[in-house]
Amino acid sequence: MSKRFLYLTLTVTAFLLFRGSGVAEQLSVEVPSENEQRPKEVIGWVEPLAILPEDIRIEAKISPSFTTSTLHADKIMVFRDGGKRHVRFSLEGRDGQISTIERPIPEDVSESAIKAKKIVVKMALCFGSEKFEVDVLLSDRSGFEQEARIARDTLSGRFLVDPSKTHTLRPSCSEQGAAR
Amino acid sequence: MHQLWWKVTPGRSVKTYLGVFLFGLLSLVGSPDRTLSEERYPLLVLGWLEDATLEDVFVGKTSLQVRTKLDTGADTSSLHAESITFFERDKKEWVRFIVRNREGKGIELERPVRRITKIKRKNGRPQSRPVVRLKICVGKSSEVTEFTLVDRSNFSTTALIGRNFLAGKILVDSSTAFTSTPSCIEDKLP
Repeated sequence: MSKRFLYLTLTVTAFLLFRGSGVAEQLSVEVPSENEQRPKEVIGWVEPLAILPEDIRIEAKISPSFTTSTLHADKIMVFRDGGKRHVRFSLEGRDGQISTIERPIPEDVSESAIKAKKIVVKMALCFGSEKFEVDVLLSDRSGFEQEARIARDTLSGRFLVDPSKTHTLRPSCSEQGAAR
Repeated sequence: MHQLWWKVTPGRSVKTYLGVFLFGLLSLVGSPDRTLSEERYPLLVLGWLEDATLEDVFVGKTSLQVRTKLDTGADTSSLHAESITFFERDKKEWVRFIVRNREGKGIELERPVRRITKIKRKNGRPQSRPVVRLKICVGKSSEVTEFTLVDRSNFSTTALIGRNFLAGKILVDSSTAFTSTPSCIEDKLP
């Protein structure tokens, strides 16, 4: 075997070792694929949130196995103001204080849905330092520990859930929170 | 032929080749066996619905495959079981039950009862259910896990995996489903 062949073999082996180790990947720049946009934040299975603009502190169960997000609402009252439908309800926050919340009812909520107490409203919620506008179903969560349940509709594309953690967020949204 | 032995090809010496070879060897030392995406999320990322296998339950030669929901809101895991019957064996309480695979084929299993748990129902009295241990594999993670045997006939999946399996192993991405095929290696290479 000629020396040239031997050294060629050594070079190829070195190259293969280099590629096979993690070093090549570490040195290269990872270009995100189309599906993987920005990295998603990892949150726990229970998180403190704030309802904006009132800054009502609540706790939410983070539930990726559910489709829709829900919020506990007491004494639900639907009324009209200037021809548009609104809903008023009570909510006891984490601190035990009862707040009265009013929100407009979106046009696409039917009268029969309102009669069946399936009212979905838009709520601005503070997750850490970011504000998101979320569709929440007003429901009776009186048997549950947390005031809200945050489901796939809110989580998708934004958060991953770590079932070994809780309370990783601290609501601290400024007046103009970034919306995603 | 009085060439210096280390000059084998024009412009290249043995030293260069040895250097390259050593570099290759050195890159093995202290190199992590993880890619960049694994660095970003050290735990395995799975969707909210996945395929899983019950490793110690066989249908012919293959493990029983079930659809499972990954529920971070559940303390423990649960499994849809039919014809649940209690019996005694060696002075211990056992339970016999039927689990169905994706094709609807029923497999009868017997397991010792670990404990009895009370399931809260939204309307009505709490129900007592047996808890057994089964080895489940989802993604690349497998572990013997406690499952509560319940009636999940109203649900879309046979199994529900809760925090007792998920915590410390898996992150759940609710924007995806069925991202993996269960592939657990029994013996890991050292």
